[in-house]
Amino acid sequence: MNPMLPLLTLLGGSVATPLVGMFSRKIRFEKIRDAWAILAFLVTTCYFSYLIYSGKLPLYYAVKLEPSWASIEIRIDSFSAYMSLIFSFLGLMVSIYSVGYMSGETGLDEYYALLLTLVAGMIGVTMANDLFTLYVFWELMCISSYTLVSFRKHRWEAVEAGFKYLVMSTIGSLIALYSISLLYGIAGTLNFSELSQIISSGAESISTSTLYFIIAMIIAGFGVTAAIVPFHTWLPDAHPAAPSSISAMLSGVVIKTGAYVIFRSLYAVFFPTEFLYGHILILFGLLTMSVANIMVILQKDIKRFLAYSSIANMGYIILGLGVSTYIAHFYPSDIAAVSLALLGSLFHVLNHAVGKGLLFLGAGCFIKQAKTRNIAKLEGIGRKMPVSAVSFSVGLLNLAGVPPMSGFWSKFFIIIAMLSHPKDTLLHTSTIVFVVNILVAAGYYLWLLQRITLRKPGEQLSKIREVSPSMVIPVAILACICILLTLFIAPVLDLISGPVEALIGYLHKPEAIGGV
Amino acid sequence: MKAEEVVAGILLALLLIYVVAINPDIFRISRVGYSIEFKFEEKTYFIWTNRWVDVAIQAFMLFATATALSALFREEKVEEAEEEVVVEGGEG
Amino acid sequence: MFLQVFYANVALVMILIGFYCIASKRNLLKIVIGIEIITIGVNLNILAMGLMENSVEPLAQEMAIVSIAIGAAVAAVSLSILINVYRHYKTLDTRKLRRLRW
Repeated sequence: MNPMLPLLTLLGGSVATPLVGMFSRKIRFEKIRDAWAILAFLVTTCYFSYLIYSGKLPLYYAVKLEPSWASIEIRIDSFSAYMSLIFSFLGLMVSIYSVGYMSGETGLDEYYALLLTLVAGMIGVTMANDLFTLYVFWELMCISSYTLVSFRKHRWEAVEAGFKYLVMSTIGSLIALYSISLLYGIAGTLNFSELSQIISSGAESISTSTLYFIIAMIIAGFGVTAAIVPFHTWLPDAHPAAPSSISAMLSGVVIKTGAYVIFRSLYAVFFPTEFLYGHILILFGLLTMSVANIMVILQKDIKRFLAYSSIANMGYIILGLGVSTYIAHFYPSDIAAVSLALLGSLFHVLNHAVGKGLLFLGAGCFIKQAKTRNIAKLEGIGRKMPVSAVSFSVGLLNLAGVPPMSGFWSKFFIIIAMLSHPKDTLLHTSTIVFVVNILVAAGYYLWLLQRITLRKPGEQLSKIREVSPSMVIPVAILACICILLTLFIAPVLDLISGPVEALIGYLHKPEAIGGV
Repeated sequence: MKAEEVVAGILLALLLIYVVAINPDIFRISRVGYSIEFKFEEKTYFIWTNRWVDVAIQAFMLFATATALSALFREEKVEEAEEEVVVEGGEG
Repeated sequence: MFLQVFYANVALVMILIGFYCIASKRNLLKIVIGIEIITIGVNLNILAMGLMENSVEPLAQEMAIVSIAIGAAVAAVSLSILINVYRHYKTLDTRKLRRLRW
């Protein structure tokens, strides 16, 4: 299995999309182009499912030429495969959804081509084993997402939000690139495994303050896309302005890519056992979720509501990472708690990707029919659109963390890990803040559920019908996956233990993962 | 002086103070890792053999940019009814 | 060694100038110019970090080349969004179009 296969599929598919679009317009059957994009995503999803199922990880593609540490290395380990599977699966759902949702808009060739390069960029970010390659893939993803946010360029909202997103995200990437260049100045290489060896072995001759400066810039730079709170202001504008399918991509997976880079670079290069940044990440996580949860309550626009709750969920993920690094620094013998926090965090990545993708796609169904985003005017629309509404409710219950659902378990694991050291004041107080946040979040999700599905529909909604099958099917599939994650939680946790072990493995045998 | 300029100036001053007073080491980075002996000018194939993925992805990125430009300057025919937008604090 | 410190300083100063430009200017075009100044500063820093006796390390050169192309791509996308902004508002003043708060 060549590890370049998914990239080739997506990028080649993207280059061929305009040609396929031209051909499909010639024979007057434009769905061929949509089917083409769906096919490319399907192949990628199957590839990654097979890869995880076969258990042949990690896979390498490495150029071993003269200075081998200055060469390209592509590496798929179980963490990359797990994230890539989520990315390509949500891409598949969104491309099916777009067949119905985007029909009637112009520029669909460009839309599908950019959707394919967006997912290719994200998959490349997870596969790159070299910081600069990662940065190039990152920019491929960023450029696609800027354009997709301002895709409906005839609306003032889209172009304005797109410009704001572009400015903030580009500054973030440039800060990250500056830190990458400083890291290059220290080590002379950017390969993850070589970097970690140089930094841990030569730590005496490197000034520690420079290394902390680099860590801070990596967290800040990639944290812009991960929507950590001081840098989150692009997100509540960009998510509502984009088409609903793209909102689902942005909220479900693009912001997770930022979190992925922070996870990977912190665990692979700056070992948490040697550097102390866990408490900063815990504080950032708490700040993120608190600010976002307060802002959610004030929103009247359904997509802004969901966008702010995405920020809150990123807070949970960052908190899980912070807890795991904090415990790994102060209690290095307690591997169980470290892996439990990581498990909760990575499981929440999956839950939030599926759940928030489902919510944005479902909200897109409502908006498409009702032509409004005002929650007050959408009251009771669920009674007119039963399938979408039931799926939407499943997603809301999942993210609210109602006990049997999988969204409950991911937060529960993080809480258990935080309670594993009862004498630690920071962990103790942050548990209280975290639980309060979860309860507030459960409250507003259930409030939205009650307003959308249980109220009596108003006059203006009397002519609403269910949307077309191509929009209902992905929503229903995602709802089924929410339920399946809950029913088959043991195999899912087995699946996630692979990525957790890959991350924990960096701490104990850094020389064994070099891949040579 | 406009308010934004004052804020920007204060931010810059803080950054400069941080860099100069607290962390001057970023100016004196000394290499502890590898250093390549050969010169790029003599072995320019380096970029195609050792780092070809970067260059290839850069090409795809330029394709994405071209697609992006053609999407942003496409002709707009449909004038749909806009989704109603909730703007806090009113228009303007 | 002296040259490396000199170029690293210049790169940092350029990055700070770019930040000042973005934070203080009210014209969208000037914000794009600020982004470009930061890009150039970062590229200069990459080259400074790879400085050898009388050449630059190959990896640093490759990084700078690719990074310049990325900067150009970002500039192209940002300018085309900016043209769309201008078509809506007939102005590039951030105060006139701040319907979404920063």
